[in-house]
Amino acid sequence: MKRFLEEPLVHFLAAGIGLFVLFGIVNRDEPEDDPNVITVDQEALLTFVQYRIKAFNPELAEKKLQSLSKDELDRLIDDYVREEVLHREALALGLDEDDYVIRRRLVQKLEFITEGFAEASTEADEAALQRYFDAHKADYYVEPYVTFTHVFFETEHRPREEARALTEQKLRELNRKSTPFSDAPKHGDRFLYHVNYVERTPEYVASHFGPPMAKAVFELEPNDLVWRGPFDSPYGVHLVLLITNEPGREPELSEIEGRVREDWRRAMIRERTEEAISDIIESYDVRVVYEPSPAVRAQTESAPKR
Amino acid sequence: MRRSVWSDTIAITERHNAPGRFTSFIGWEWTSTPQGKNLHRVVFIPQGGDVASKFIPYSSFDSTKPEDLWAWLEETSARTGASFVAIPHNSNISGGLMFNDVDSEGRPITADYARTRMKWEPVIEVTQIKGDSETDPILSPNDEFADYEPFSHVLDSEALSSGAKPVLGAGDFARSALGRGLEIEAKVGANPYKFGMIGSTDSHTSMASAEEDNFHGKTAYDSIPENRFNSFLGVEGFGADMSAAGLAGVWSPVNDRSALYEAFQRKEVYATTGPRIRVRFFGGWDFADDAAGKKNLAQVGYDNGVPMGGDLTKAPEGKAPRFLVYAIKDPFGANLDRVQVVKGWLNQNGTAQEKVYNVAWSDERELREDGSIKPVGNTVDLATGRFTNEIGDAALSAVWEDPDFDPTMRAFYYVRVLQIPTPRHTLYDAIALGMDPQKTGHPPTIQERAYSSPIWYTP
Repeated sequence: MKRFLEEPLVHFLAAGIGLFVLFGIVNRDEPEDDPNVITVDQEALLTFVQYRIKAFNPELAEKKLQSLSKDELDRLIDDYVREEVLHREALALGLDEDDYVIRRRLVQKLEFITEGFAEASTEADEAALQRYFDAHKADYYVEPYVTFTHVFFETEHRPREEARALTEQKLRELNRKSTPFSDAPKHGDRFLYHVNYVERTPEYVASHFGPPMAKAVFELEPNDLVWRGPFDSPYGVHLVLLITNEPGREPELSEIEGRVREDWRRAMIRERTEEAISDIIESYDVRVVYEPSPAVRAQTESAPKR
Repeated sequence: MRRSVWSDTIAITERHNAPGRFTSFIGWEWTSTPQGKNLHRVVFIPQGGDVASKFIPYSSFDSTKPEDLWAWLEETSARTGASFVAIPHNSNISGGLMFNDVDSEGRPITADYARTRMKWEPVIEVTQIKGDSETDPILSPNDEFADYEPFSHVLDSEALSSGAKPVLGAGDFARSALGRGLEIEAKVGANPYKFGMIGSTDSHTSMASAEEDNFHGKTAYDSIPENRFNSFLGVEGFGADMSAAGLAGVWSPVNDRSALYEAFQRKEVYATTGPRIRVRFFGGWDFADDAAGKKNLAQVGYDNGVPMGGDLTKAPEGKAPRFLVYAIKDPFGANLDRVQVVKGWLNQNGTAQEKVYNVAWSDERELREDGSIKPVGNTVDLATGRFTNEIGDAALSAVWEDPDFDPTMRAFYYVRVLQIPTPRHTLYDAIALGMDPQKTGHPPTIQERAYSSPIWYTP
C-alpha cells in the first residue's frame, strides 16, 4: 500500500479521475443543454454570489442570497445573466485560446492540484525523519550567544589614553559598589548602538564593537558580579558585565522535532510535485524539431555584449 | 479546487510569524498598470489567517482605479473585521498618475477623496529596486543630491520595446506630492498626500536584503554579473539599471503585528536605500541646544515634541519649530556624510516651495555662506571596490531651528541622511567582468541615504 501511495503518477491519475467526476457533478452546462438557454436556479446564483463576495462558504452565500431585497435580487440576476452570456459568447468565439493569462491560470491550477495530492499522502516515519535531520544538521545549528551590558567612554573628542584612564577608574568604582546590570545606563557616555545586548551572536556583536572586542567578549566566563575590561572598540573604550555565554551547538532531533517534521514534509511535497509533473511530461512524446539556422547562430555567438 | 495562491500565502505567512523576533504580515500586491503607468499598491493586514481567509484579495482584474480599491477595502473591512494598509510604490514610473491633482475620472481632488485616500494609504514607498522616488533634478534643480538612482523604463512591454521613456512631473515624486498635498489642503480643506515614507525592495522574495554588495537583480535572469548589462527578449533584465534598494524602518515599542501596524498608522516609519541606517526625528518648540548630545535623546524627543509622522500647529508667539535629529550608521556599513532637513511650504500664492538645509555633517567641515558644505570626499578604490570609513562620522545629531519660518504658512519637514560614497552594485559587476567602471552607464559610486517621514506644520 505504501509503495502504491508513493507512486506520483497514481496520485495524479486519482486526481484526474476525481476531478472528472466532480466536474460532471458541478458543471451544469451539459452538452445536451441548449447553448441559448440560461437557467437561473438557486445553485447557479449561490455559485455566483460566492464568486462575487470572494468567500467560498455556501452557508454564508445562502444567507446572503436570502437576505437580498427584490431589487437587489433582480440586479444580481441581471449581472449573472450578463456574465454568463458574455462568457459563453467568448468561448464560442474561441477567445480563451491564445490568451496567456488564461493559459498561466490553468497551469497554476493544475500545479496546485498536483501539490495538493503530494501533500495529502505525506507522513514521515521515524527513520525517514532521522535521515532527513542527519542530512540537514547544518540548517539547525544554534549559534553561540552572549548577554551583557556595557559602560562606554568615547574617543572622538578625547585621546584614547584619557578614555582608558577614565575607564580604569570607573571599573574600580563599578566593582566596589557592586553595580548591577540594570544600572549600566547611569554611567559613561552615549554609545551609538545599544546599552544591553541580550542573546546576541558573534557577528552581531562584532558589527557593533569590531571583531577584536567581540572575540574578547565571547572568551569571557559569565559572572554577574564582576565588571571586566577595558575593551577597545573603534568608537572608544568599554567595560562589560557579562551574565550569559552559551556556546554554539547542534540540537538533538527530539528538541526540535516539530520543526524538522514540517521541513521534511515541505521538502517531500516539493519533490513529489516535481516528480508528478515530470511523469506527466514523460507521458508525452516531445519532439524538438527547431534547429537555429547556422548563419543566425554564428551571428548570435559572436555578437558583443551590450 | 478552491485552494488558491491566497491560502498558500496565508499559511506561509502564519508559519513564519514569531512575535518579538520576526513579524510577518499577510498581504498582496494590487498591480494596477493602466497604459503601462504604474499604480501598484502593496496591501497588508495586521490580523491573522482567520481573518485573511474570509476574503480573496482585490486584484487589478477587478479594477485598475485606486478609488475602487479603497471602496473594496472599506466594504471588506466592515464585513470581515480586517484592517488594511495600502502602500503605493514606484510613483517614479506612474506617468504622473500616482500623486495626480485629479482623480481617476479627471475630476479635481475633493476633501472626501483626500480623507478616503489617507484612511487607507498613510504611508508610501519612496525608494526600491525600480528606482528612487524622492525627487528629480527636473523638480528640484537646487538640490545637489536630487539625481539619485533614476529609473528610466516604463512597465508595459510594448512601450519598453519601442524605447519610450517616462515623462517626469510633479505627480511622480514624493517631495512634489507632499507639496501638492499642502496646495490641495489649502484649497479643499484636506490633504490627500500627507503620507509617511518607507523603502522596500519589490523583489517579491520577502528578503530585506537589497545592498550593493549582495544584489541579485530584479529577476532571475539578471542575477549573475554576465547578464547584468543585458536583457532577455527585451523585457526581462535591465539589471544594471535597477537599484539595490530599499528598507523600511519602523519605530515601535513592540515587534508584533498590531504594534507595527499602529506605527504605520501614525507614520512613525522611515526609508533607507538599503543600509540599516537608524534615524530619529522629533519636532517641537522647546528643544534645548544640548538635547542632541543627551544619552536619553529619544526620551527627550518624545517628552518635548512629536516624532516623525507627527503634526505641529499654532506656533507659540515669536517661536519657530525646532527639530531634534539623530542618525546612526549601519553597523556593517559606511559612515555618514551629513543630515539634511528638507522643507516644503506654501508661498503667498498657494504654490509649494522647497529648500534643503544642511543640519549636521561629518569631519568638522565649515558651513559656507550659501548654506552648502564641501563634498565629504570619496575613498572607493575603483579597481577593488573597497572603501574605508576614514571619512564621515559614525553618528550625527543636531538641534535645528527653521530660520525661515512663517507661522501663517503650511509646511512639512523631513530628514534626509547621506552616507559617504560607496560602490554602486554595477561597479562590483564591472570589476568581476573586467569592464571599465566608467562604462557601465551608471556612476561607479553613490551616496546611499535615508528619508524620514515628515512632520507637518499647520497654522
